[in-house]
Amino acid sequence: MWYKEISNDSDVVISTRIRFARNLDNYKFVHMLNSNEKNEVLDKVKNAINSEYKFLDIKNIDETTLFSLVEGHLISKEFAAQAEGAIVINDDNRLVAMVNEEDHLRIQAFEPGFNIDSCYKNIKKFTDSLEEKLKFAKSKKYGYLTSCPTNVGSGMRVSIMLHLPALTKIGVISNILEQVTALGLSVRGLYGENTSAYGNIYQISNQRTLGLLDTEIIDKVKIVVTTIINEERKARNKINSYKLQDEVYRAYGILKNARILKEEEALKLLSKVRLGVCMNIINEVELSKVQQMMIDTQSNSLQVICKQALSEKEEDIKRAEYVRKELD
Amino acid sequence: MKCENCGVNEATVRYYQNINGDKKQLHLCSDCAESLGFTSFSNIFSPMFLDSKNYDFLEEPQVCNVCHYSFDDYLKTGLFGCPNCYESFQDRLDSLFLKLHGKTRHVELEKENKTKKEVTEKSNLSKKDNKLDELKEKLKALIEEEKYEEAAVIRDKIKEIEGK
Ligand SMILES: [Zn+2]
Ligand SMILES: [Zn+2]
Repeated sequence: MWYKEISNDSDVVISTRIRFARNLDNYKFVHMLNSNEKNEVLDKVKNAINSEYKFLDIKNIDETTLFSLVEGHLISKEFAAQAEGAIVINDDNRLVAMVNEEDHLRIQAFEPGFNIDSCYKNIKKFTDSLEEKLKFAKSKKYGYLTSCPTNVGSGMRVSIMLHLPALTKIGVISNILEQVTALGLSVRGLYGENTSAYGNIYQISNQRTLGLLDTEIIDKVKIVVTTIINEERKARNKINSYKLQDEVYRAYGILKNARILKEEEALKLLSKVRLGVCMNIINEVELSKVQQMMIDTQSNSLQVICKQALSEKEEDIKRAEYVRKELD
Repeated sequence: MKCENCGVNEATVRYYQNINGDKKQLHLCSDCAESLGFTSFSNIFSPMFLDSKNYDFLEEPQVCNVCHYSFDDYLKTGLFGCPNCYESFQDRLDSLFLKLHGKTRHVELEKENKTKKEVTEKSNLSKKDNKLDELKEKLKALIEEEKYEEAAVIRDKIKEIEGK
């Protein structure tokens, strides 16, 4: 899967995602549809995709697997929790579309690292091929029409997932995030509440979608994120010390030896090890492995790997077991 | 549903109005219905009623004619009901979009204008190129025929166009 790959700026950027919101013409938006109409939308999309892509009705996916996709950030929590919908997905999960989420189609392209251009190429190719067969709701005045007017126009959301432990450590993260917000981009901490995000993972996205060319939106995100990447690298140089090396190796030591590991603790420790790997403090583990463990140690993903349902207690033990095995 | 006049009592009476095929509904409590003089259906169409400024709450039902979603529904849910809502609520969208996006129109309108301009510029350019080629051919021919005086005139013309 793509999230195990290492790519451009992977030391700071975990992944790039572009999402297009599209709706079929002549249908009401999803929240206004009855079951029959929802099924019609599913059928239309199913018939419009080519054999490169799988069409999975979420009724046929068990809950644990579904929520493991949420943990991999491939689908939204709201979508996984509903009963009617489908996922269109390709072999390496680089393209994942949700059918009947808030819009009839939420098409997403993913890349590891900082790779907006290849994401855009992929999503454009898929969406254009769909648009040859399906008529999307679009107006001259407002562009692509979406259920929520915050997405109208281009319908495009570019999101970059960043690992910013050094900026957090030197205490400037909230200042930087404020500046990003002031530039019209949105920021959120990925785990925990915004104010106490753990794991130091943040997602930055464009907020505005109307009256802008796709390239204008992309350029803005590129400029801002490039600046943040440089700031994070500068901060990493600043904090490099024996104390940091000690912290990294302690985190590694716990991961390698713990017998009980909670989800939040695992992510916090993996965040430290990730920083250590990217700063060449620690060479015992590869970045791709750390990246993979950050996804796989989450509750549902872990249960999918263990192929069994686990109680919370069992889960913490299995998590420790899994991490020890991976680091061996 | 509350009465649309006083907003306090439960609406118990529903009145329909049909102006040029534009159907509007009015929900009132019986007190308001009486005090507004809606004692019978025909009163709705009385000129007094339609002219009176007191009844301007009738003017904007703001309901999408396709999905019957109202702008108030949008304010509650944050979602529109169907693509046509964008047309139905267009009077209120400019200020909403200005808040959300800082712009009010899709970029393709601007882009189209831009490309149109570029196309006309381009066609002007290519016209210029054609003329230039033509003159250069002529110049060549005149020089070959040793008509130097005429050639000088053409040469100046070419210089003039190229200089632009
Ligand atoms: Zn009343
Ligand atoms: Zn509507």
